[in-house]
Amino acid sequence: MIVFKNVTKIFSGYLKAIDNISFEIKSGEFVILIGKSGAGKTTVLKLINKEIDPTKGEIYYKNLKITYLSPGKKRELRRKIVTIFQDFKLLNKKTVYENLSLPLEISGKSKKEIEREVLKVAERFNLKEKLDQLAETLSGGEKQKVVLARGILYNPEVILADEPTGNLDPINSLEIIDALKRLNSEGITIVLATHNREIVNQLKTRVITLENGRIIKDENPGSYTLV
Amino acid sequence: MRRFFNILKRGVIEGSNLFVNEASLTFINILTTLVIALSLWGLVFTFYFSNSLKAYLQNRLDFSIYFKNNVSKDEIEKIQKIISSFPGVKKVTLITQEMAFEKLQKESQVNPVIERALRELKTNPLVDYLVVEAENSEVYLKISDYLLKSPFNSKIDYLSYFENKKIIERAISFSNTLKILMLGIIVLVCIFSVLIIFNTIYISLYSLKEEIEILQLLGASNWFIRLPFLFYVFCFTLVGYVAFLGLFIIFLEKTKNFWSLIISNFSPYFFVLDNFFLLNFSIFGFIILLNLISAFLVLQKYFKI
Repeated sequence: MIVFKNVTKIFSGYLKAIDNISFEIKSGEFVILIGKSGAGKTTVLKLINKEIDPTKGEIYYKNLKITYLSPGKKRELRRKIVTIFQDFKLLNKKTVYENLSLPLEISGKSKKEIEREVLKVAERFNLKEKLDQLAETLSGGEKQKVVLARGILYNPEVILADEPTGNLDPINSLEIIDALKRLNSEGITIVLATHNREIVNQLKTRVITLENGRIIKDENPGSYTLV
Repeated sequence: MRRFFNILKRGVIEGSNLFVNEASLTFINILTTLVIALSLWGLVFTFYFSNSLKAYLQNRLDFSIYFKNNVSKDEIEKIQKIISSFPGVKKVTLITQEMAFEKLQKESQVNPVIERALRELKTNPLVDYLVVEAENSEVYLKISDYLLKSPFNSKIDYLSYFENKKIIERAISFSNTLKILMLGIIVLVCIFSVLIIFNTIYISLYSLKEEIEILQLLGASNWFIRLPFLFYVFCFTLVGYVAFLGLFIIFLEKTKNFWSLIISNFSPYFFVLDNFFLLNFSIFGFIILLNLISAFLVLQKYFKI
């Protein structure tokens, strides 16, 4: 589904964030990118969702070359590959309802359709009681749930999660990981970037280890049942 | 189509929210719009004033032919006929010595010094003359050229045209300079206004930088992001212009009778009334275009959308 072929990303002409990496992520896989800060995890995710372009190499998504895309094609891709961030990227001055409405508004849905779909997703993520609350008043765990809920409103094929538990306590972290596992069991491909060993041990899934922009290990213990 | 209307509707709602939520910036934008409107209307009025002044002065440019004392009435009437036949001449009136004296007496009633001087005079000191009215000042020039070269030259005491011409030409040149000066000032005001609008829009957008970035990450199209800002620009331009128009109409109403005291044919109130839709449509259109271009440039330059 996602293929990297000898991809290198150099920032500012000298800072090598990714150094000639190649890997393939199959449809429905749950892949963890692990590594220390600066290892290149976020850069890989940004290359997948086309926030940045590679300096060298080729990237494919469903056999389509996405190395360089026009702004319009990038937008289309971002509705299939959604990203959730450690810093949530929520509109803090807007309510949970308004935040959840955004992807549907972008898709040009009517008010009624938006209401129906937002209520459905809010119920699924136990957010119904919070719909009228401003995003800034939510706890970290609740915010991350809103981000996940917002992401799946696009019916995405891939979810890229960049340190989604970075700002959360263990209980909330567990909830988010469980939510990601559930989404994966529904067929959504998950790419999770983290430096949290506990999550890796708990998930027992394919782990790509990055160090200084290179893949140093790509292992699949197979203990976690993949779809 | 439905998708387009939903996005348009969202743009209108978000743009209105921006108008209310960014109240201080909205206020500055409204004020700037007011200044631009004032400058543009100032430009229109400078041209209108200048043209009125020119027309007024040209109308005042009387052309009189004063004859020597020994010239007979028959000869004057002959000249009157010849001049009447000139193309562009509207009317040629003969004012006899007696008529001129009577007119002077009437006018001098308010001035006791002249009245006393006229009473002391035993004879009529005035001469016969012809008053020529033509369509424009060029006709006067042709008539004077003809008269100075014709055999009638010896019968003419003097032509009033040349005395007035210099003063009027100076006044017309002043009105032209005024036009250029005002144009320069207005160009400067417009440049400053664009800079202010550009920067206030930039500040408005900067405060929403995070929102714009999130929308981009969520795959929103450029138009989806632009629409609320463009509607916001439309809103403050409309409110600013309507506010200006309200104040402007009150000003015109209050000064309705004042302007005609300066120049009889200068009446801004009726000028605006006669051209209300055309002028407002053009000026409002120009300002909205200016503001939208500023917003577009900001969005493109700083947000690449």
